[in-house]
Amino acid sequence: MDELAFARSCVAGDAEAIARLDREFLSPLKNVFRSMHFDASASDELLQQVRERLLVAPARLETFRGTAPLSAWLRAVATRMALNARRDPFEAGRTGDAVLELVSVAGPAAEVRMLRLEHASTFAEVFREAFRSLSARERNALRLQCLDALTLEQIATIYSVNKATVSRWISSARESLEKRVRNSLVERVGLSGAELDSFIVALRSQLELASLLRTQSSVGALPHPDPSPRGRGE
Amino acid sequence: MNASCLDDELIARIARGLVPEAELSTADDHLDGCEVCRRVLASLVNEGAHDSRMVGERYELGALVGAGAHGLVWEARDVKLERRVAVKLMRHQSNAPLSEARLMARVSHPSVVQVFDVGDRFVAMEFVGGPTLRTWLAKQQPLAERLRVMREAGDALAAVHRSGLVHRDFKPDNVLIDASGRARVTDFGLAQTEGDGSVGGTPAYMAPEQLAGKAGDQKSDQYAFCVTLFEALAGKRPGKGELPSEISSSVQSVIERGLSKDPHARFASMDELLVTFNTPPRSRWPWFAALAAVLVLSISLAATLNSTTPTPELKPVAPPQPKSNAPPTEKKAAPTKALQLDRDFLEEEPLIETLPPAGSEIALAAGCVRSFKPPRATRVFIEDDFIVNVAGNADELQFIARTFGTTKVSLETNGKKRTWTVVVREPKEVAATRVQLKPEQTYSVETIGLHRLSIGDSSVVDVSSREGGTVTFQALKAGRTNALLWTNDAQRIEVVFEVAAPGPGVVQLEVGVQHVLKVEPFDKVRVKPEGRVSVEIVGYTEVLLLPREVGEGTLEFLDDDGKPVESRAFRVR
Ligand SMILES: [Zn+2]
Repeated sequence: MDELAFARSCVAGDAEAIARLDREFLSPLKNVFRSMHFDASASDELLQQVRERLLVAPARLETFRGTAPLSAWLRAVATRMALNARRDPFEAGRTGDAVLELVSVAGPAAEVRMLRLEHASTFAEVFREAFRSLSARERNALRLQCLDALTLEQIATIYSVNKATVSRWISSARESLEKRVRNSLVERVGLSGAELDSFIVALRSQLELASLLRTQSSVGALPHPDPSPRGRGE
Repeated sequence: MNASCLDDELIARIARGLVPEAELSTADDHLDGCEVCRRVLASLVNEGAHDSRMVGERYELGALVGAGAHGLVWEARDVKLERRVAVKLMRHQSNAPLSEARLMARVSHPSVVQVFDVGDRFVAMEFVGGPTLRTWLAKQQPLAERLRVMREAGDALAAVHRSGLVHRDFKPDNVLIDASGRARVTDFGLAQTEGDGSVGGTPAYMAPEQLAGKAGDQKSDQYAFCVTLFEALAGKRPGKGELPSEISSSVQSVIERGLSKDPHARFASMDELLVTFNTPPRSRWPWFAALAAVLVLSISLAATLNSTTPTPELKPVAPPQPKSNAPPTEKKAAPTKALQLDRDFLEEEPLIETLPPAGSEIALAAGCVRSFKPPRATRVFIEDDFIVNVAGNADELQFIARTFGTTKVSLETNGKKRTWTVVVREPKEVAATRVQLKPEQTYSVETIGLHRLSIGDSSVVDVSSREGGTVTFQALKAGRTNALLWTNDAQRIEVVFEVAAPGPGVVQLEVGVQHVLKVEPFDKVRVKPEGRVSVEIVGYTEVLLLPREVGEGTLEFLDDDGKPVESRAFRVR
């Protein structure tokens, strides 16, 4: 309980402990902010806010129970504050149509994109429904892979399973997404053959799936401001 | 702290895999709806992961959207202003084009792609996302629409000229058509004299004086505009096609004068050119001109109406510049096949290679990724992370090609540093391979992963399987076609397939069924053994065969001297 005692000393105003907190725990957080693309001055400002939140009553550091390493907990606190400070109009503002315009060089031909644009809203809707039919874990695994760029190994660590298991979850999730999207497109739009395939291509491309998921996550969860307690983001 | 959000200590424990299943399931339900908690978790898991996607400390690169002579264009997010931009990473370390781009940032015109920011070797621009004029033209646009788009592009060029700037590389690839259908000219001034003194530009669109080595100016922009205008109207470049007859005389005179070899004979300015361009066609019959105007209006109206409900039109994947020796494709490849290929090659699972010996060269195609098995405990040093970036984890070290160029990448293991030269370049053509197959036979090509593949006629030969970098083709029917493979290590491999008819030479016959056989010109025909097939000479090069009994034999065709011309084996069932 070394770290717990240390946290307590900081809250109690022990100058030596606070100096160590600044040096060893808080200043590395600047790199966290920089990696989240805050510029130098914004990072400094954020760090100042985090420090205040931790030490000034009601001191957040007081809530630390020592069930996780202090450095990891601090990183979580700081990341959460940074995310809430930023919001994400870029991602929230994406529309289904815009997403479908994203292409890689290896992506589908222009003609196919046109077709996709034409049915973009239906496709987005069909995708949304199919995505909702997955289990929460499948959805999370897909998001962690496509949006947060975690490797299968990292996802496996979270769920204490092995890499092959995660790989299975993800491929079965993708398969069932594909199956549902395919069926709905046949039923609703009456697409078939090559036209239908052109939509399924999107689901198989990591880039495009990420774009689709991004629109999903903005529907499911908007970052909520940190200080005012609110219900889950709608 | 948000009451319903996950406790940060819990997230820290989840990130380390210390949370039992029951608690994880509850956490999953929250993570499913809360992006913030999920991103906090991901950030903890990903601690220390190296971010390879930032440029200029504020642009986060997304998908690759285009490759041009001057560098690669990426879709990106400006994290400072939270907007979507296009970022072009320049090929050369040269300040000349960038200083021009800085001036461009001051120009604002509805048909000019806005330049937002110019940094060390990159330009951040407005993200347009639409097709290029070249792609757009390939889709059979109505004449009135083509004229409208070219007028808009001309307006943009004129506006930029008025600011004293020059484009230097105007061509259909540098005009984009945005979502509202408007022409948007991009890449202004980027083709300025490169650091090495060579003059940028695209030969087919360059004015004679520019080809002779003179730096591009407004007059050469005018020339390039007229080459493009001609191409937009005729479908081919000047000298290779004819303007359609319905082009007005004013537009014809714009093209004629703008393409003058002598720059002084061209229009004084783009503004002057546009005055002629916009002159309504003069006619001896005023009512006809009025009618023509109504017609143009209704055509463009129809076009507008059409554009809201575009007819889906699928075309087979074709190589961008088919080689002259590529066999003509008799039948178009089925679009389903082309899509199939696209899809397959987009699949993840990269081929993880073993690193070549230190000191050797690693080639990458622009925009591609090559994965290597990383040595243990490695630190990565990149000389120029503009050209290539390195990302990865314990399983995989990815080399990500960002723009054209050559740089050095070093890996440090146990204090020992090893260095490789990494080259990002356009695909180098590898001599074509000629393969003769019989139907059903297969042929495999080994590559370091593919980022593109196209088959001239996939009814003759098609991909039957792909495992890692190995692609296996299977012959389906007699014919000739080619396949082009673009590999991740920047090669363009062409394979020419010749598929012979089943059992070459053996004529398959059936008792009682007539068969027409085409042969070399002959005079007489002899059947061995006699009587197995009766032969009726239909013409110089054709016989009608009527098989009489089951068995094998040969047909000998002789000239009038009795010398054999051709011999064909047959089999009667
Ligand atoms: Zn939450």
